[in-house]
Amino acid sequence: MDKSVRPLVLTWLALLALLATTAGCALLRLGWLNTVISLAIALAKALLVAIVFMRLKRAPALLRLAAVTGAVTLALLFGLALTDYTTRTELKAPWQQPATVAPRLGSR
Amino acid sequence: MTAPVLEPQFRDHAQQDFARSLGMWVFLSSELLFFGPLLFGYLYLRMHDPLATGVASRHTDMLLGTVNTAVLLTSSFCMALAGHAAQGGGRRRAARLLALTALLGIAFLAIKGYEWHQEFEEHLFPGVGFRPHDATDPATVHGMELFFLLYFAATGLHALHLCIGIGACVWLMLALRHPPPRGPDDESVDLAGLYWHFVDVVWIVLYPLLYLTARAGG
Repeated sequence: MDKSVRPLVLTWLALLALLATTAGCALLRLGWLNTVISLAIALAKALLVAIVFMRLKRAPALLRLAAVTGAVTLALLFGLALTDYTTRTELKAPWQQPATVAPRLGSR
Repeated sequence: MTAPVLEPQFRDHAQQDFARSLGMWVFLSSELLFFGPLLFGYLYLRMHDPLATGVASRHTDMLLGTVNTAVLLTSSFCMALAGHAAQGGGRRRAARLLALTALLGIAFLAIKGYEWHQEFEEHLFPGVGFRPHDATDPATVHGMELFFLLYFAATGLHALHLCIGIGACVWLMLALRHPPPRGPDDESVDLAGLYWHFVDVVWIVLYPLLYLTARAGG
C-alpha cells in the first residue's frame, strides 16, 4: 500500500468501526446514555471526515475559520431560538383559562 | 502537460487554489445553516414529545439505514482517494475513482428510494393518509406525523444534495479526459470532494437522529 494513502484507509476503517459501535449500542437499553453515545459517535465521525478527508488538518488558518464559522453560527442560532422555545407555555388549545394551565418557569 | 489557467486577478496558482477552497468552505458553511432549521425542528420535537419521537423512530428501517451509512462513508473514502490520485497527477485513476464514487451515491439513492417506498406503503407519509398501525392516541399520532415530516424533509433535502454531488462527479469524470487548458485542473477534484464530504457529514448527523432514537425501546 502506498504510504501516503494510509491515513485515508485508516480513517475509512475507523469510520466503519464507529458505525458498527453506534448501531450496536443503539440496540442496548441504556436510557439517556443511548442519545449521548450516538451523538458523541456522530461528532467523532463528522470530525474524522472534516479533518482527514476534507484536509482541514493541513489547511491554512483562514480555511479552518471558515469551516468553524458555520458550526458556531448554527450553535448561536440554536441557543437564541431555545431561549424562546424552552420558556414558552405550551397551550393545548388555542385559548385556555389561565388557571387550567400548569405554572411554568417564570410565572408565579 | 500544459499549466492550468491562471485568472488575471490572482498572483499565482497557490493563491488561486486557496481562493477557490475558501469560496467552497464559505458555501458549505451556509449549507450547514440551510440544514439548521430542520435540525432545530427535530430538537424541538425531541424536547416536547420524546415518546412519540421514539415510537416514530422505531418505524424507520435501521438495517437499511446502517447499510446506507456504510455505503456513503465508503463513497467518501473513494472521493478522498480520487482527490489524492489527482494531486499526484493520476488523472485516469482519479476519473475511475470518481465513477466508483458516483456509483456508490446511486446505490445510496436506490436504497433510500426503497425505504421511502416502504414508508409510503405503511401509511407513514404525513398528510390525510397518515395512519401508523401501532398508535391511536391523537397526541402521539400528531408527534409521529411531525417526526415523519422532518424525516422526509431532511432525507429529501439530503438526497437532492447527493444528486447534485453525483452530477458533479460524472461531469468531472468526463471532463478530466481533456488536459488543463480545456479540461479542469487537478484542484477541481478536491473542490468536488469537499462538497461530497459535506453531504456525507450531513448524513452522519441525520443517521443517529432518525434511525437510532430509542431503538431499544427507551
